[in-house]
Amino acid sequence: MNSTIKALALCLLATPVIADPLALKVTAVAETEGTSGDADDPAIWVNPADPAKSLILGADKEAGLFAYDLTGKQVAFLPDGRLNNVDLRPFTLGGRAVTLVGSSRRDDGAMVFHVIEPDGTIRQATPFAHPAASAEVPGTTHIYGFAMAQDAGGTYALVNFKSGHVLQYRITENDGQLALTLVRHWKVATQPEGMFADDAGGHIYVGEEDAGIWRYPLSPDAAPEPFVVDAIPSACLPRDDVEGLALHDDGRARWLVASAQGVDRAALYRLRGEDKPDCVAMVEVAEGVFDRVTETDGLDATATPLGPAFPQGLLVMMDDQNAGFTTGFKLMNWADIAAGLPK
Amino acid sequence: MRHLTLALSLLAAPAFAADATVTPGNTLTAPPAEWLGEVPHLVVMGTINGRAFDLQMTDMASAAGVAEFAGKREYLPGEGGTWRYGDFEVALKATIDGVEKALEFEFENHDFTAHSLPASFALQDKEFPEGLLSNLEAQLEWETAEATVNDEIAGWTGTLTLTTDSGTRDEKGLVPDGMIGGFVTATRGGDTLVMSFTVPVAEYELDD
Repeated sequence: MNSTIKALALCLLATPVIADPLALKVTAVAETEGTSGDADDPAIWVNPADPAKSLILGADKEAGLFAYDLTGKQVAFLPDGRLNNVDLRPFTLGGRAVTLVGSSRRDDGAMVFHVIEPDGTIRQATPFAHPAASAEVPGTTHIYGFAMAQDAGGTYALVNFKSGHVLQYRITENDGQLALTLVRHWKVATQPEGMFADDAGGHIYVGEEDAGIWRYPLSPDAAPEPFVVDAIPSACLPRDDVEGLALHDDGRARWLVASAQGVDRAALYRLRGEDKPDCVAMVEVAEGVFDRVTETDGLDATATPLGPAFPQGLLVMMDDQNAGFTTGFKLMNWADIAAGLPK
Repeated sequence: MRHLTLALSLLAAPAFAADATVTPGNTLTAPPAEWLGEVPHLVVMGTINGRAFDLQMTDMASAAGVAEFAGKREYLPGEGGTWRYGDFEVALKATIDGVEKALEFEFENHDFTAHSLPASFALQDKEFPEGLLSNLEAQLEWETAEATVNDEIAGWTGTLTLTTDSGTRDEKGLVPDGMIGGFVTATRGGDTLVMSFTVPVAEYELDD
């Protein structure tokens, strides 16, 4: 047993007994067109002018980046390499408000960036590719997970490696040109992947696939002291892997959504400031109009109402088994999930 | 206790899954006793994690429901910038009895090129073992309206007889094509498995 897993296990033993999670069952209301590649991680771009015309971005680690509308129809494909994880943040580029989309690319160990214009068109940023490894951090091997973060100090790219390293870069721009500067790094004991930043809460969450979920302060000025959110096995993560992580925050309740791949479910943890997040519910996406969600990898969520189909926002989960031996993403109406959650 | 219930249902998963994998028109009445030859084929008879298999695709060209049947070699870093052939996979995607099923059988050795064929490898647990040893992991994936199967089953004992492994080496010594053929008899707990295969290879992977 390595030291991190042992530490997680000890923390788990020391955790007070809490209520068992609710078992929620919902069905998908839409699914994206399948890909014969290998879908991995989604990100939701909310169209500020017309939220019903928002987009699902889907990283395919054999092909590139797909964009789908909220019915699941593919509206764009950017064959930009073996993209593993994808995330986005609003950004000012050349004096214009756009959305910056970052991905981890396995072909060359790079972070690559796209720009979404306010009308939803997607293009490559310049420079497009940035090395993920740094000479300041020896031993990084095999780029893997990726996320973005934002605080008063700026916008950040977070990238992790199968070696366990997590690197935090500050993203700046000058006359439309992106530049990245390493501001902090740390390491977990075993292979991480899923990450997300709770910008408002000031936290970064990192999933260590076989071990559990860690929380760190977001600020690069803070020491990366880990806080155990959950350790495998637990009620919400009965077995590995933990995969994608996301946030659903409607202003009343804040939920950490974690992909519990080993049991084909999304685990919901209630976030309350610096408290240890409570595991409240396990969401199963069952067979309905669309097939069930299995072996889910990445996921994303938003609380922004996205038109009548998603009045309380949206949960998107990768689905490993689809008709025609394809993979893709399922879209769930958050209102269906919220109906089963404690008020 | 909901947690306990979930744990028990996980343990019991094979019992309620759509388990059996039986191809139509099977002609073999007993598992084969030897490799079935160079014609691309896959025969899997026995049980894997308690799930019954009577899969008889004795001539892949005429087998029904096949979406993909492909082999893949995997190379690991060797000494002096070379690559060693440490792994191969036999993968089938096919619709069987109306269910889309993905099966994958993966074998490892420190370097398969170190052995003259035919060669028999004793199956055991160690990864990338040296000498005439190998291991086997069987991966099963399918879903129905009622259940999902997602098994990765290792820990087999028995024998892999590798009969053919052909193809054209490139300048790095890597082989992206050709055929891999072999015969397996294996047991694992209550499982017994007999398997014959000859699979065309379409790609390789470098595990760097």
